[in-house]
Amino acid sequence: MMTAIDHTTTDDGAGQSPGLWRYLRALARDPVTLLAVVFLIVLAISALGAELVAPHDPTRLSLAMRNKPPLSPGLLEGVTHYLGTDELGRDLLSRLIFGGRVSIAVGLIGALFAGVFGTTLGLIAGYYRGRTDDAVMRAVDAMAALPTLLIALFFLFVVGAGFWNLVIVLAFVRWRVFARLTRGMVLSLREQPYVLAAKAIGASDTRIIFRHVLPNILSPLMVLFTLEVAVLILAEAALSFLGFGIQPPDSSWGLMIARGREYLTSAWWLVTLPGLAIFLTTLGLNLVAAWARAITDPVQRWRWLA
Amino acid sequence: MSRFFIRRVWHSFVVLFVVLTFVFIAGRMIGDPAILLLGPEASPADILRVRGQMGLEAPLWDQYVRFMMGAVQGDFGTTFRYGFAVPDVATAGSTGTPVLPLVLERLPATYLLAVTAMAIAGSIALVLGCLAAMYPRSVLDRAINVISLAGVSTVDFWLGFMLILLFSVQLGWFPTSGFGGISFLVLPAMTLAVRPIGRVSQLVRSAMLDELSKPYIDALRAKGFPERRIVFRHALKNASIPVATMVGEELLQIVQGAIVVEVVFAWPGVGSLLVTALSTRDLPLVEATVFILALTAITINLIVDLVYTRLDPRVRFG
Repeated sequence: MMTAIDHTTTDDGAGQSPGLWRYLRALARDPVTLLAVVFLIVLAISALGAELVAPHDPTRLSLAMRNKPPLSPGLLEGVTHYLGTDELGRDLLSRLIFGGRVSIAVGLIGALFAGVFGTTLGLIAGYYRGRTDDAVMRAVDAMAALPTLLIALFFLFVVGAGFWNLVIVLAFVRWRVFARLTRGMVLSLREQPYVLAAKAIGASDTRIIFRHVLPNILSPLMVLFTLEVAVLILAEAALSFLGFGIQPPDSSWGLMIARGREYLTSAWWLVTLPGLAIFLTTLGLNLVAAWARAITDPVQRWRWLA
Repeated sequence: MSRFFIRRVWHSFVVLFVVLTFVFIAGRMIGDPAILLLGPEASPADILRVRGQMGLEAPLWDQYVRFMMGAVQGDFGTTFRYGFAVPDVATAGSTGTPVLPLVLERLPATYLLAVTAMAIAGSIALVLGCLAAMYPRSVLDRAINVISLAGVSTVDFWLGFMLILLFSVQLGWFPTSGFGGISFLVLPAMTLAVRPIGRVSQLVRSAMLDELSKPYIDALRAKGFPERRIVFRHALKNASIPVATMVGEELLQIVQGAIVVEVVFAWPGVGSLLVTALSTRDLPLVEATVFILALTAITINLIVDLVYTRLDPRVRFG
């Protein structure tokens, strides 16, 4: 009897999860978000293949070429510094590409750690309730009462600066966001008939959590993850700017702003361009997250995918 | 009300207690405070003397109790570096300035900045959010949406530099940094306001859309009230309740933004003091600044929660 249902012809299927091409078509009709997606893809490619994409060696100094404005010709014939050079004569575009790799890595890895840790605790707290739930939510509330940047600065003061310390501290201050969202969703899901049914036929807790609960909360979590990457990139910039994040000789967009600060009036591009890179990246992530939220929301979805 | 009140205040105290404990543990984790004070080249005799003065020879438990007692009485000791040209080994540990008055002295500047930024952000966000809600899904709505997302994505300290470049360096309208009359306040307050504008205007929009879809609005329209009056008199009043809950969260965000923005504008607030204390590893000053900032944040949360229960009785009885 069940073979009568044909799963291949679900083009118009209301309530069906739409296929990839429908997302793409919806994207094509939203030029602002499309632009953001294209920008993020270009950014990802340049960060991954920085060695191939960067026009110059980001560490090569040239005292003759210090603080040259954008589009300055280089020392060699046919070489152009499209975005100028920094206070040590290094090519700014190349430094932006390599610095972006670090900034994006901090955002992605930090959000991943925070997401895995927070979601796990949120699942446990929401599913088992009781004392674990109390303890987790106490910690979440206590940390939410304090400014994130204050906690991060204080912990970096204790453990010292550096890439991995930064990533771990940022994950530590942001896990609460994932924990709270996950717990809230699990609380309502655990009373759903299909979860109760799974329980009734004797499914184990792990199976229920991973097969029935987690897949149903994944899309809000993905939206939150995207937003958190933006939050962490901004936090990295602030912390590196203050001298508690990425340390030279490594570089990141935030550190580049800190270093260019001295030359604000004489070489505006040193502060302006790294900041613009951070701004466009976070704006792109926020736009994509807003779009993804609208398109995965069953109430709003029909407008976009119609 | 009173049971809720007592429980809420109790929670705040617990958080503050945990913060102080963390601050104490961290202070002992980053190395011997005596060496931190005297520098790595100090002679063992000096270190021993200072350890005695600072009470570091006592058991850790005893130190912890004394630290907590001191904190409760507002005594965090004296500065290690702040206010000295060169730390003097002979008198080290006894000549620094008491740290808490130093921090408290900086507090009004930070509050002034935060409140001004909040006022700017609140009024602009209210207008943007209402406009977006009046014409939902219009070009105006989409433009305001992009503006608010841009606000949320702003790198606040970088925006500060951009404003300095434009308004101080190019146009010469405002001073680049420092503290004085209103002209000094404009740029840092504007810088701090941009991110909250983004967040609050989105919230106002959705709260207003909720409100405008309710039956009483239809009744007002049917009676022939002018649309502007319906929106700003009737709907806005009810929409302000969910918005009010965000005020505390936004103030927290502004205080946190102030830490960085104060550094950009050399604003003499607690934020820039914290950064100075952290980068000079001035332990007592770090402890006091972190404590005061945490206390500020916790107090903001507490006040907002209590005010909210007044605004919306459902919370109290729910």
